[in-house]
Amino acid sequence: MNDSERLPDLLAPEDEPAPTRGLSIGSWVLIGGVAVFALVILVALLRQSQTQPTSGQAPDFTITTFDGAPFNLAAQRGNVVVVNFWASWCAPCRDEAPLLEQLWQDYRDRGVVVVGVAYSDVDSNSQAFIREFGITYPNGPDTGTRISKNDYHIIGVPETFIIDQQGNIRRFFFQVLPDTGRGDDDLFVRIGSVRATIDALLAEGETPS
Amino acid sequence: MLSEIGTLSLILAFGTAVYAMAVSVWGARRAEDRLIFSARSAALLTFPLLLVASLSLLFALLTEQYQISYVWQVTDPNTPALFRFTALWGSQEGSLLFWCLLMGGFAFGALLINGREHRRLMPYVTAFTMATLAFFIGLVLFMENPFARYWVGANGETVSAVLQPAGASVPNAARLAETAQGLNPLLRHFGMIIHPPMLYLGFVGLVIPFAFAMAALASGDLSTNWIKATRRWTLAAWLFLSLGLILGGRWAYDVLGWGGYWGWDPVENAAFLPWLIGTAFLHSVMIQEKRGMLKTWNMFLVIFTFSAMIFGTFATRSGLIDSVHSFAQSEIGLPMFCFWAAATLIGVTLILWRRGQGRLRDEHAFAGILSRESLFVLNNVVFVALTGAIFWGSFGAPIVAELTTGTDITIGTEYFEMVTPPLFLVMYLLMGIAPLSAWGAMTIGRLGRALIVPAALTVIALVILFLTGTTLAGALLGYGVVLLAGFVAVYETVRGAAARARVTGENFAAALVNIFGRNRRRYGGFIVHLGITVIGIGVIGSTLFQQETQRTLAAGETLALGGYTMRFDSLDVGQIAEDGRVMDIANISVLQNETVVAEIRPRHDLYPQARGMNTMTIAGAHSTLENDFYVLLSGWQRTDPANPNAITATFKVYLNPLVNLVWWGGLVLILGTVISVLPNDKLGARAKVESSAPHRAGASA
Amino acid sequence: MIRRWLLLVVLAVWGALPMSAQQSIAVTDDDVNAIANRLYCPVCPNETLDACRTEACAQWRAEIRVLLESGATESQVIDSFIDRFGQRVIGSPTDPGLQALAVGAPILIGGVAAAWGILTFTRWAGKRRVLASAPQTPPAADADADYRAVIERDIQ
Repeated sequence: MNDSERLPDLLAPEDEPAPTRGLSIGSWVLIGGVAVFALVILVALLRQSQTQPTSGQAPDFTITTFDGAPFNLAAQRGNVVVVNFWASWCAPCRDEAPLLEQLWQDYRDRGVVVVGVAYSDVDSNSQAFIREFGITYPNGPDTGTRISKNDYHIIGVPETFIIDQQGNIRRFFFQVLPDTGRGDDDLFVRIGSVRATIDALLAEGETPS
Repeated sequence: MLSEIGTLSLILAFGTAVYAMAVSVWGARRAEDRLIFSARSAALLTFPLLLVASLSLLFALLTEQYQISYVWQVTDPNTPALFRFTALWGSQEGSLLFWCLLMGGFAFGALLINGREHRRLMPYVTAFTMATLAFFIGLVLFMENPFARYWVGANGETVSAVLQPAGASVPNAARLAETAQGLNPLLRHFGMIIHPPMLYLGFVGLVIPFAFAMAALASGDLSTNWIKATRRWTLAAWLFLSLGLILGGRWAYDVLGWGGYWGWDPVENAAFLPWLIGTAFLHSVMIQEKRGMLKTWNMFLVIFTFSAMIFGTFATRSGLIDSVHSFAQSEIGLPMFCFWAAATLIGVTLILWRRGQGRLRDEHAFAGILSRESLFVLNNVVFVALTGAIFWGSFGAPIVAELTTGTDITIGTEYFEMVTPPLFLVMYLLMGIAPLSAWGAMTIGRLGRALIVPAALTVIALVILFLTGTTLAGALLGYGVVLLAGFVAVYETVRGAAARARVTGENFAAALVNIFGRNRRRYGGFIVHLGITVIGIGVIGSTLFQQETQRTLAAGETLALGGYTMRFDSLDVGQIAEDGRVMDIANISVLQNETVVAEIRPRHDLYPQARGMNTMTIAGAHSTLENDFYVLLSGWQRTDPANPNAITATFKVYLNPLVNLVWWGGLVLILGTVISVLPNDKLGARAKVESSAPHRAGASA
Repeated sequence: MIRRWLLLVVLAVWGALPMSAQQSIAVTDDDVNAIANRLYCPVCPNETLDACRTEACAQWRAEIRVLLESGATESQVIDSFIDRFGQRVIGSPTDPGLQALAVGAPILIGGVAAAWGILTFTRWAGKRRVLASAPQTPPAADADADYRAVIERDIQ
């Protein structure tokens, strides 16, 4: 990674007397080193600019819910899954929580699962939040912050993914609330669009193609 | 209208830069003066065009043209006039345009001042500066155009475009003004008025030495011409970069509210890396001037200084790293990466190609291991190691960890405070010894004799420190090494003046003034060393002996820390400033020996309009040369709902010993650099031409 | 997981203790900040927990206090945060592999830089012997004379 490693003899007075035309092997190694270095940075840049997946197979994860039961995404194949990343310290999550609970109540018998993944949140605070809003759908902490950062690349909370019966991500909601803070109507519009998406997926499920 | 003028002048600037670049190379290849002249004229035209573009944006900001999306993003009707001005560099698009303007200014200056010399070099200098400039203008023009305007599309949606799209209409002006976002609160500080321009000047100024070095490699004029032509430009860029770093530290200290000035944040480090390599270059280039050695190495340093600058800009603006300082993620990451990789690879390949031809061969062999050139080489090793270690911590380790194990890691202060101090100590040690050494060869005995007085002074200072209570071994070691470097700088200056006084019979003061007049580079360099020494003392003091405490106080209660006592007198809640922010201000008396020595007002600002980060904690500090008593208002609570005056407030209090030396040292450093850049007195200069050039006295080591 | 259960047990036991025993561990803001200074905020990159003013950080600081009050040591608190939130919360990784990567590399860099310096100098030493017959600047008689020569050139 460091240039100093590749420049051992540049300070030394030069030994070779005859001017050469092409580049020496050492020079090629050096140029190659710089190129590899640049390549690593390029890969890092491309990975860093990776955004939330909006299609394709949803990265699988297993969490232990606050009730102590394991929740595995792959085991939900056949159901529509709404994955919501949230935290108790996040203000928009408070607006969203009752709506998600209502969603769960309305759809839980129709093959829809809502699951909450708590991001960078202290368990006791998460549990207080769940009690406060009377949330009954499964919720658990993202231990090690791997699911949210490495798999789903979220950049903040709340973020919501809708996964179809085959385990594919079909819809991604960046923020349920627009960040102006003055658009309560929009919230219902968005939740409406969450519902519309779910309805469409359920309809798809009934008429297998 | 402004939008059209701005965009048009950007298009023209881009066109002239590309034209100048292409025609310059063509003219140089065919050795046609007519073409070279035409290219130079075109190149000189870019700066006025960029000035028109920048003034258009500035005018739009000052006249509140919120239809222009940039104006809408960074100002609102409450923004004071001063911050309308600084909003020019308040966000990505504007700051890139401003960046181009400054780079255009540097190119303009270099082409104007150096344009008539160095006939072989200049066409390529034009080409390389214009290539760089064209790239950045292209970024502004095609990806981050600050002149884009908001329009209401046919379906009522908002679109952003320079020209009115078909069927779109102009949005309601009142609605635009009402929703405008205003400047990021962090940037509403006097430090932000001057910190970014200085840092940008330091950054863009590096394009001149880079272009000259590349021109030397491309044209084959590998004499010291390029070094002579760029010394002042490099020093000027270095000066601005140093200023930018120091002001950035000051801004962080005043505004970020964590009691420190340097957090080893990747963005801070990104600005520090070019400074480190640039400093290595400023020293090592002297060996080439005096002894004709290290030609390949110097080429590497100058190209990697530029490369580090572009990398820093790229890393900061592309979202490669997460940082509090970074601009919002944007699309310019990939083009900036390509430019950085291309500039570095082309530079390295050119160097190796010329080296393969035997064109960068040293003129002298090293005569002695204990010589100034060897010590300078050691200095280079230290600077390169520092660069490597800091790069690794800021970028290398997090990137490699993420790529190999998929784990996000944070490399924080712990790492840097472990890795860098030994290297900085060696740097200061060399700073103490190298100025006493001579070119060519030197014996240990002679060096020892030259060291006696500064070393004795250092020992005396350390004994005093020890007796006054500084007993920490690490601190004494640090102070000792740093002080030695400072004493050497002062001692050498005094010795020079005394010698002149003896020879000429002038009094000492006159002799002192005259030696500065005759050899600004050497003595200016000593002042820079003195500045670095003062900064070093400040850093050691404020890092090793910082004290902090946090307590919740009711009105009238006191808290003691490090010889001071603070009394919480009252809290003014909900003061509204003219720019709309809501301030909670604590009134605090600072007491020393039961007498009030200062009244300070730490406060907490809330910007109700701002998005995202909308609060700021502004410290109140009682500042003396010895230390800062620095108080932050962390929060407050009402203790009795019935009584609005029953309030407790939580304060975080720091005692930062010697922190002011960091700023004072910065001023000394600036003074020294300015002296180094100024031309020598006429008489002195003539005397120098007469005496043989390779034996010019000393160096600004 | 086991650690979390242990923690819950500890908290439960702590809650059941009489008041006098609970008051035995007094935790000051400074105790909390000392640990918060070593941990990094989950939402603002590269900002330590003690300096950060977001709600998330306030909650994490409160958690540090809870753990300290329950009798955890500094390293236990930090380990508990790393377990829950990953290596990103600490300023220098604690995982042995990552630690080797983060800290080993600069030592390697330093070593290479030093080796390079030594190598260069030995080469020069060798070169100097070879060039012994080549003309050399004769060392001046004493430092002062050399110095005066420099100064005199200056003031000519």
